[in-house]
Amino acid sequence: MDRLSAAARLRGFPLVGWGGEETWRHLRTNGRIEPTPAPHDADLLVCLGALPESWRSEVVKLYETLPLPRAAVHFGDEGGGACEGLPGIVRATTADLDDGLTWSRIAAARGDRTAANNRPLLEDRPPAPWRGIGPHGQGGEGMMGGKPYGRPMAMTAEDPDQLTLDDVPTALGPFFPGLPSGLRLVLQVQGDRVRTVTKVENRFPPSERQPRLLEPTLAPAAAVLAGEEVTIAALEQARLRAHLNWAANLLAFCGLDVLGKRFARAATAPPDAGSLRSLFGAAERACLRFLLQGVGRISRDAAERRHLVGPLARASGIARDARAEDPAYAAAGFTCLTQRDGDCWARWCQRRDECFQACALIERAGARLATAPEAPGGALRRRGAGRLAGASAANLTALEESLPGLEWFAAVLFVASLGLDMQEAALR
Amino acid sequence: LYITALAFALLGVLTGLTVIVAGRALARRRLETAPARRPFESGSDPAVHAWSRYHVRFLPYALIFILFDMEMVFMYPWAVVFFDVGWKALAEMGMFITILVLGILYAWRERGFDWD
Repeated sequence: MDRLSAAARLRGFPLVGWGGEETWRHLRTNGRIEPTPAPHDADLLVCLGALPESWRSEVVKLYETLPLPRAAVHFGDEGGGACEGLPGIVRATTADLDDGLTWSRIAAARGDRTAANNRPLLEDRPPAPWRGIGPHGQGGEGMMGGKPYGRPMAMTAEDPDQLTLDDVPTALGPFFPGLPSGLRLVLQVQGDRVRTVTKVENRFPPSERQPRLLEPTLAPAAAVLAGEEVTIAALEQARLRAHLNWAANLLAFCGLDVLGKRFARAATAPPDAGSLRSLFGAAERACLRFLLQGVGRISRDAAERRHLVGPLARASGIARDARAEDPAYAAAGFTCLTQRDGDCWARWCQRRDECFQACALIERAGARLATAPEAPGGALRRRGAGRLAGASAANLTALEESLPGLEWFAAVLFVASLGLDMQEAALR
Repeated sequence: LYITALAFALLGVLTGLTVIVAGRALARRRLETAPARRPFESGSDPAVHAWSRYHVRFLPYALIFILFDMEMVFMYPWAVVFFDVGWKALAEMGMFITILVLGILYAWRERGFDWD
């Protein structure tokens, strides 16, 4: 039985820290790990990059919920941070991702049932013990009073149908697979509908790291801003790669995992407009429009008011793109593409059209030097003392206005469609 | 007869036992501690108790489905006598279905088929 279990593909729950996104994308596409939506189904806690120290208690709590036999692995070129204390954690660098020896070490750590990693880490104490007070044992007076199992009952609020329903505070993130790692939202949910957003939190602490070290698709735009010589081909290849990864993630959310994997593989392949057209065609024949149209609409006015940038703003009809002011791009015949509706489908169409445009620009003027720091998510800008800042911090403001009223599935899809990067948003 | 019934009962018990034993043998073991049973909630601790009341927004949709599903019951006796009665039965069923279709159109106009 153990041998059969060892031969199976490992199911991994990811915790993505500083600079870990690229490693996770690689692991998902090389087929070593099958991502799981919750740690309760995972064989392996996969820690990627450096996890902020403030995540330590959450990391231990998540690890404790993994079924046995279990193990933790850290892939990264610097320290693991919050995952360092986990017993028996296997440490590997990003160069070891495809090394068979690493995977043998992981299997050995998991298979040793007497090792510390397969024993309880936390004291067996209920987080909210039963009080046993009140006529129903609910811990207080009446049905709404008291704290059953130590937790209060949800209060009520009026819903759009003028019904007084329970208003349940529900957290989305910081480890919701597929959503930006570190993004934590607290939503007041009535049934399956979001009433309001009470908290938008970035669990990555402010940092002075360089964006090019965190995310390879940011590197060319960061280099342009630093005054280095960067070709249009480098900028557009990064854009193509980022947009295809974004599409792969959105497809996985829509239940189209196989198509998503094809997009993720295309993101690492050389740009080819013909194969991209057939890939996007296949996705759009799979009822994608039906799922995305009308979901999470951001009007042009709201986008202007919130100062949104990048493809998110362009999908709402705002023709704002740093490349429009670059003479090299102008000579290559660049025009700023926009959409009108501002919903998830418009965001898909915007990124799809930008992919085709990127292929054309690479073909027409790839060797020319660019001066526009337009990263895939929006323009990078300087924030004094040579520090760079990206678009995600600006685009985070879209959440509070557009989430209320959405049903749960639409809300999650909307957050995924924004293409936020919380590491980039934490840069100072 | 009694032997057949007994054999079936035994088979039933054996099947049940096999499923239970196989499930126990093959399922992955979990720690039985309180922290191991913590709900995931995308990485945050639950803030309130799990009891909550919500509006079943798809209730009209579900009721209309049951209503029209039940109409099918009248079609079974009709199908039995259809060949004997002939065109008269067809006409009667046509009238019945027309009335149903009017009901569907009314529910559609009243937005009864919207999931919300």
